[in-house]
Amino acid sequence: MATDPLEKLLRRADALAGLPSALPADLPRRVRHLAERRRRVRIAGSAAAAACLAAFLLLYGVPAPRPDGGDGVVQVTPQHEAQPGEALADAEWVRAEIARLRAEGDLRMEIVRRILAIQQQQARLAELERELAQPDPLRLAQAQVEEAASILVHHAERLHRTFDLQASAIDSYRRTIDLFPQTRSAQTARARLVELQAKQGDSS
Amino acid sequence: MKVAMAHTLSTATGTPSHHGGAAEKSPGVSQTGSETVEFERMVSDHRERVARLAYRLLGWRDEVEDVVQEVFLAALRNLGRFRADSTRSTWLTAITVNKCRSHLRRRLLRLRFFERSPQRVARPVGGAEEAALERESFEQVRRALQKLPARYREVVVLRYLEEMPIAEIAEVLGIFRNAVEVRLNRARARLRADLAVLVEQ
Repeated sequence: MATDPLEKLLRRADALAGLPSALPADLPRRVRHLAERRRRVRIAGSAAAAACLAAFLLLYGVPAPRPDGGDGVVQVTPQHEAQPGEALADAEWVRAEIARLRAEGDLRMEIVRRILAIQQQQARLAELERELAQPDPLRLAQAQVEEAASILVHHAERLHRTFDLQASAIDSYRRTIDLFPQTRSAQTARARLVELQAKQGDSS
Repeated sequence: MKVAMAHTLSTATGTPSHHGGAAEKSPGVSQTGSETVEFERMVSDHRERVARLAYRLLGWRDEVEDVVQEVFLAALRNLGRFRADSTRSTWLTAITVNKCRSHLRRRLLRLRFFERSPQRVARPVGGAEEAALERESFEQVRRALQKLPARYREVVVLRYLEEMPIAEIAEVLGIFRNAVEVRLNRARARLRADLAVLVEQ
């Protein structure tokens, strides 16, 4: 037995509402009839949809107008009534129509090919951009070497100009040339070395 | 959310069945003789329970017959696909909950756009004097229950009126037990707020 007042209240209301009205005795039969009716409606609906589609295709799916101004619909007439001239014109028109459709097909294929080529180019470009976006490790190493060489040259210049220590400066320039021979700073060091050695020669 | 156990409608093949002595094509689905017997037994075993549940879920409105027909129609179509991993009663409960939701949604749309038809709401039974008071409190409870969102109303009906265990409610609604408990608590809180006076009495 429920002790919760809310639960009691709900049960009391349910008891007061009584029972639903009695269901028909032939419920299974009614359910079957309902199912059968729904099945028929479904079939009829599908048939109607198919008929609508067929009608639409008949109305809008006809070939393009004939160049001679006809309505484009080939009239099927018994063979014995067909005039030789008309049959020839029809055959000509059919041939022209086939050629037109073929040309249209070729054009569309060409467009598709071009679109595919553009897409491939774009994909390649995107790939290259991705590659470019990543830093090149070789360049990074080169930059670090340049930086180290430049520090050594700077140090040598300070020794020479600020402290007037020519021997140490020469030693530092030589070290730069030995350690980092392929750098711009090595070229600078060589030039300074020549200047210093010339000065020393003059003074001695 | 669709109730998890309500299976999609399907057709099965088989031989036409006979019912009530007269040869009768079976509906949407062709059934074997054993399936026909099984269906009739299912209807006779569960019709009262399904009707009572629908009656409660629809807010004690006497619109049960259509829903019960829809429930058994869905059951008939899916009879061959019924898996024995739940009881038939749980399966039918799930279908009933689903059909009641659809029915209420359709009724709401109808009311909103077309008409304001008089509702066949159950009247409390009893003597003339006490009936007036009872009717008033009954109406309050009904309105409070109807105000709840469907997901809360369903757990309240299944738990307190159908007296189903939480685990079975979770199975019927295709949710976790925790979710059932949360919904139940929230529904109770709302009902308490709406029916504070009646609860205190």
